[in-house]
Amino acid sequence: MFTLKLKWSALLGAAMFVTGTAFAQDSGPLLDLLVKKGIVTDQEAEELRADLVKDFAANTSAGKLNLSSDLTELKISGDVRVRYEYRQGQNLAGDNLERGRFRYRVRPAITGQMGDWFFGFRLENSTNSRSSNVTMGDDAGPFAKTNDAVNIGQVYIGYRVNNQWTLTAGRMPNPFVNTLLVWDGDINPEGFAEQFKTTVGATTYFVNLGQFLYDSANPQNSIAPTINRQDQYLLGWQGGLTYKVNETSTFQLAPTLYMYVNNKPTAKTFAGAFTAANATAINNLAVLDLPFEYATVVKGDTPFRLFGDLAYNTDGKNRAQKYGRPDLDNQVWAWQLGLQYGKAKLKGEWDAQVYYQQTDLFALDPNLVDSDIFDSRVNVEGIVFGANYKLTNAVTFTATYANGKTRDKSAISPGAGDVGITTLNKYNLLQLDVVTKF
Amino acid sequence: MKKAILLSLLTVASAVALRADNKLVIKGSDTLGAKLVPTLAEAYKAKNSGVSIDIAAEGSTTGIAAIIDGTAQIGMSSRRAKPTEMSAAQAKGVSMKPTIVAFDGIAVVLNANNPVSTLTKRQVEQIFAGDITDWSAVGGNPGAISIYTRNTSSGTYSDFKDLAMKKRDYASSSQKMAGNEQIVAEVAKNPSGIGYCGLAYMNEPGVKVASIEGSVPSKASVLAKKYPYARPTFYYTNGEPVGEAAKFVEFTLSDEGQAIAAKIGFVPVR
Repeated sequence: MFTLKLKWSALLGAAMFVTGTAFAQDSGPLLDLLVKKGIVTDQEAEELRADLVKDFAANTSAGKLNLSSDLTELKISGDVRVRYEYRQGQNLAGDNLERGRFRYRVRPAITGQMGDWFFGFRLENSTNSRSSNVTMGDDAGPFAKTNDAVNIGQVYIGYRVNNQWTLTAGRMPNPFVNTLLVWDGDINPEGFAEQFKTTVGATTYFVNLGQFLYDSANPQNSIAPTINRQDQYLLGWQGGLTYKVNETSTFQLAPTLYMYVNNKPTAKTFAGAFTAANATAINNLAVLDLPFEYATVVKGDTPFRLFGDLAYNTDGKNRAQKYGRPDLDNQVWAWQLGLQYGKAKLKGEWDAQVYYQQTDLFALDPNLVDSDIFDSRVNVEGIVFGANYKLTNAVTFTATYANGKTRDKSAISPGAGDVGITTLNKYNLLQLDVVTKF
Repeated sequence: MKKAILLSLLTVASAVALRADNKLVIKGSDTLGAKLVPTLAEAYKAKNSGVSIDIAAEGSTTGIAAIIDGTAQIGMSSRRAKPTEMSAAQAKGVSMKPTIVAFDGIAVVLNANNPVSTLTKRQVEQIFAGDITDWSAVGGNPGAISIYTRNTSSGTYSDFKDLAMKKRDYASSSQKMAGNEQIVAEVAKNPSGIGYCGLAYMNEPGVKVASIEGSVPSKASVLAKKYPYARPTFYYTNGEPVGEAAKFVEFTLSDEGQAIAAKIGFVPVR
């Protein structure tokens, strides 16, 4: 018996030695078995268990964490990016404005689940809704931190009603299937979203609904004689499907309608008619959007994607008239069409994509379109090349090049861009990124 | 004169020191501290005159915290110290030593008039987690189930989650009680009630003990580790106990102490 006991104790000791502190978390059943077999007493097992827990508590970070017992999952993630960017704009006289800059961003995030409820928040180091970058050396002094703010990029609570419906409230990741044609990827809309998804046979149907506070009036009801205002909302209705063509190919279509509510002359910020001098106004925008994608594999197993987006402002004619250019009332379309070859997921993998994009002057909300590709503007068109290479599974090198111009040079290209030229004879963008994800 | 004053001061100091040596502070688990430890303390004091024992039974969490912050010599606990508590203790130079003083089974108690008398482990989990809310779902008379649990500082509260509920949360409708006796009293009054308590509290009028997949809590089933909700109960000390605490631990583990534990309703360690 003594020999057997010694053998079990030695086995336990060896296991502890080999597996270290992680063993503390898994030792319970083994200790219980040793007690059941009479190899160690309850008290001996308890002392050993206490020693293991002490070791775990002292030598592992997990042992020092005290998480709410209500949490069923907690995840810390995020990314850090360092970028070189070059932008060039040429005016109609052929003069160039150029800017090269080094930038960085950090976006640490915590997401968690408590049964059917979930939450998330993400910090970002820029106040800009369409960029989380900080430009190196752009502060009020050498190596100052005046631009390095800590901002809440995302903060939301959600509830999974069942396997099909999910409700989310707060400042959230964009719930819509979208492209950079309509939405800048950095925008996290604020408000409420309801999402539905169900699969029938080879088809997954989805519905995404959004009610976003575009601009909050403060106050809504003022002391007379000040005018009363209402909150402005962006509403979105999206219903689409993903059809599995075969084992390697899918097709997705996501028709969407975006509308703006309470866009009255008395609105706080985005009131009035869209003009060259009032380029943020959101009057007469009722945009039908149709992002689509066909994904398959070529050459055996290389991912290949055909993607695009088509948008039409159903109220664009009135937007053109209020702008003072009824002659341009057919400029209410925007589209994007592109190809992607490969998919950079693991170390050594790469992908490349090319797409062409065109946005009419009255087609889209200039406050939402991508801030990089064509400098936050509408009335632009051009081509974009991009490539990703995985340096490791977690580190990606990305290169992006865009070449564009003002589409109708009889008008300006409105938008809150970085290039201070209203009508672009030529626009070039080069971005070289190293991104680490954790 | 100075010598006399000095002598008097020394005498007083010695007396105070002696009194301090003979005072034992025990804090923690209600499961241990409501019946067992007070009975042990009385028996111990009867044999050791001049010893003062203060007992505060406000939950295992308070007992472990008292050892960490040095406000008790013995911490009663019906659960094991958590890694975070171990970490906090080590940061303060405290070495948490557990001593098993008795075994216990957590009995699931029902109102005596409830026609249900046996439950599966899955049903217990579902009832306390709120998945099953009506007695008809487990073969009883139709009626909403009233759940009684201990409060969050209780070791039994967390032990039951670990042993019976796969660490799930209690139903939001559950009512939290300060002690085992309160739970038993409420279940005895409420025909739709269900709760849990230590072995020492289950044989009360108005309640009956549910059989869990054919196993009822008893000395035999707990010692044989057959009853699914069996557990050890502990004294925690800062390292090896010394002084009065060491004597009290020794007394608890003695034949006399273990006989008291058995009489109260616990299962002796041997």
